[in-house]
Amino acid sequence: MVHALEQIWEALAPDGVLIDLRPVAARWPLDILAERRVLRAGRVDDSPNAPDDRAADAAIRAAVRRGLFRRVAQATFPFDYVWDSVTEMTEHVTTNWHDCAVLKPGLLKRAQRLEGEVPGETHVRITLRMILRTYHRLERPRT
Amino acid sequence: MTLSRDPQEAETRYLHQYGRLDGACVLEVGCGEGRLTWRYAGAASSIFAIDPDRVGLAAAQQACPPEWRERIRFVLADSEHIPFPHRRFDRAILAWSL
Repeated sequence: MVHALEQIWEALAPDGVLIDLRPVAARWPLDILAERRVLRAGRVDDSPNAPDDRAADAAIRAAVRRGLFRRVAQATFPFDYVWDSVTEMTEHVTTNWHDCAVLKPGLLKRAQRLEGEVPGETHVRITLRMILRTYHRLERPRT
Repeated sequence: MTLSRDPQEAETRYLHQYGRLDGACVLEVGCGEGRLTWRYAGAASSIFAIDPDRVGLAAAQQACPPEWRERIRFVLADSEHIPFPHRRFDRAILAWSL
């Protein structure tokens, strides 16, 4: 990762800006969306993603320490994934997020129960926590 | 399956607010199928989007609207070997890829 950041530093113009945008583990909430209500089913176990978060943070800290970049700004914001049903959500998570999130049986059971209890159309939402950081490229890295 | 990603477009808003991409020459690292690329393609002057996954990249190339094809290049490459001249880009976006 540090080598990748060195490569990016070389590719950027002297006044260039690096934008690091990614989801971070934050026990993402899982909700059932009814017509006029949001029903909290619980939180997804996203702890499998935590080591990757730490490694990415460590790499960027190392690049800052080396004088490649200086942090300018940071923001966090929600990023929603919305499915039509708990079944579709489960299929997506187990297929695509198997290395970063786990749906524990109790959480799934609660989500299915809430989905079944609410009359009318429902949707299922997982809200990721996103982090965006910007860094100015510095001209003279420490050797 | 119906899946909606970021229906509130928070990512687009924050990316533009903090990234200031208007008129910029952008390197996007880890573009995948171009989901994020489309969110700022209208603002940037040129985009070089790289990804090591051939399948995702082919999907991005296929999905790229004709009016953007002169300004966006999708290139098979990874972040450890960026195949462009030095000091070329105004912005580099690590797109869910660090």
